[in-house]
Amino acid sequence: MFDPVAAGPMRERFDGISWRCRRGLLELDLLLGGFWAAHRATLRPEATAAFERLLALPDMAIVDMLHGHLPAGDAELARLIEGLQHFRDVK
Amino acid sequence: MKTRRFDALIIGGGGAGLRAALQLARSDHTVAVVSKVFPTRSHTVSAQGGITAALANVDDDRWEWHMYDTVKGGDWLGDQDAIEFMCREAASAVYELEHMGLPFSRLDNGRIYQRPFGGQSKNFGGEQATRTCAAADRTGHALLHTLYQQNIKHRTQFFDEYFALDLVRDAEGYCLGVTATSIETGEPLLIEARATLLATGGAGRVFGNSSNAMINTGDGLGMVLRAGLPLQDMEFWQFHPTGIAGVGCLITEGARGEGGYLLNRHGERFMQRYAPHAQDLAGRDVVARAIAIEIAEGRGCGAQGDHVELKLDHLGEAAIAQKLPGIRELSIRFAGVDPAHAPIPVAPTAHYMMGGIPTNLHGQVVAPARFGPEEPVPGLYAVGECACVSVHGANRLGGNSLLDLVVFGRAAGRHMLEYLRDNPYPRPLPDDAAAAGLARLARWDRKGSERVAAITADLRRLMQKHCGVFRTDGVLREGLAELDALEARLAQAGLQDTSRVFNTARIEALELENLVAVARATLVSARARTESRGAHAREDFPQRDDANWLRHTLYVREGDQLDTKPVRLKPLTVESIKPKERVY
Repeated sequence: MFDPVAAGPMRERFDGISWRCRRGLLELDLLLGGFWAAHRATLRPEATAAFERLLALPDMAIVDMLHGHLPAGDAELARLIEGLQHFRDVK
Repeated sequence: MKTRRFDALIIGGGGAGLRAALQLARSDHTVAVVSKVFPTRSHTVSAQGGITAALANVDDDRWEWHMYDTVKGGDWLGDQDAIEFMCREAASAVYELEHMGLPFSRLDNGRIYQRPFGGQSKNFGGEQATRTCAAADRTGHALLHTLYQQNIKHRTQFFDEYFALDLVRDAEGYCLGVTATSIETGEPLLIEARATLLATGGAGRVFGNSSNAMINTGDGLGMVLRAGLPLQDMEFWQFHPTGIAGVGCLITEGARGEGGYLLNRHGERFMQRYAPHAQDLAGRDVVARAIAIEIAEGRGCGAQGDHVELKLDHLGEAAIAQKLPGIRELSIRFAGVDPAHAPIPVAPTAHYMMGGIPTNLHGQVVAPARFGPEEPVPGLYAVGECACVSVHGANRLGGNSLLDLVVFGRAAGRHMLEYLRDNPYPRPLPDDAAAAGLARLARWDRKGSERVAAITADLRRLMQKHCGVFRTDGVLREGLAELDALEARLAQAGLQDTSRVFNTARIEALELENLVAVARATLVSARARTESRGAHAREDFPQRDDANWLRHTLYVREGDQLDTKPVRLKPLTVESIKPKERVY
């Protein structure tokens, strides 16, 4: 199992991702922050990288991807979006 | 300690800060923006409905009617000179945004699309006006990105993911910049500037049920209070009537503007009883209180009877998809209902802070001093939700917040240019310039017996319970006693992890200090105002009291002092709008 809590650069990177889940929209705070808190310890490295790519996008681009109005761009991001949609559905 | 020097410094990367920064960046001056998140992730992005200006693109309109609606909407607590200024400047501010490239929605004739919003009228209280300019339901997003791009074009320097700690002032009261810390590295930074503007947004996260993003923690308000300066009208918090029940996310008033309406558990359109004329488009405070009463008197919907319903399905799936697409998705995801087929469960949610840092028309922070009650603090400005100019009075109208940002952001930027011209040289920094900011950081280097997250959760519960839609002296007094106990716990709080890099727990601790300061200002001010006006509803003082309370409150942290100053009822060029009963 990948251990993100280990000290050092990986932990710093993960804490940076936590901060970047802070958004302008409450609904994204709840969804992205909740998803990351729940899954940061278990996401595959490729999925974590996709999550970082997602966080670098404007809020409304993320909203559009989540609503299926904007293509995810690559297969890994598409899988992540699907996971987020599912997470949101059960929230 | 690292030090950077600029001519002008903006704290906050939302719409207000970026509009002011743009005014400065277009000149030859150096300007920096400090933002705790990447600027386009500021809360301005959440403004769905639009920006109000009497363009008369859809129907007859005049800025004087807009002014009347804003004075009335604010229950006569707004300063009429500031309101006239905002409404007169509105059209030029909107056209300026259009020319910058803001992609407004369009009418068939190519003009900017406008929609009706609550509290708007024609001919001084007559028929519903159609005055709010919109870029679909993403006006705030469009505005923020337009202003950010313009700032990049004009080479504004951005300090992204920096958290401002405290103001730096000299012995004569001049503001000389701020101390800040990099969220990424934990390193402190002193940013020196001849003029500093606070545009840190609201503090809605002080309430348990709020539409505000997590970043809205009143950071500028805390800085001002720690500097010994006052906050104005902090008792006035707008509870938006239609937050998704149990979540807080906002369903814009535009949904009712497009024809949606509210129902109680009996299927009754209850707003017809509370506001026979405007009905579902009455002022936000009126609608929020009506919903609170319906719920309190047992006419709420659902198993718990804790919400009412917003019906949109009669608009048709095509109209909802075209005009309210974001609302539909939000409702499906967070409420589990498609508004094209079923009503959305909604309840009041803390949404907007009408009070804040007192300023004049130029955005200069003002405070009582030797020569009067409103003496400018040299070198210090504030704009946007963190400021109180005051145009929203006791209750803000929808569509006026984005307008406030751009009108007063531009005005503050213009005045800062004059200030820089008149004060061409930096003043010497005091020896202890960074002491207060560094002490704030050092305080969280120790471990403690209390946890920040637990205190934050309790603070939000406290404010929701003791300072919500309806208030009494007893409930507010109990709230202050609980806040005393909570502050004692805060003094014992510490962090388990005192590392530097992206230590978000440290930032949340610093934010909590600001939220506690905001909570105290709110409770003390709310207890002092023994009347009901706009968003401030006292069950023990249910009437508006113009004889005693046509005044602004001014709260100062030291000793919880509360002072007042009169509302400015005299506009700049037109006749005063005399106080009268506020009915819709």
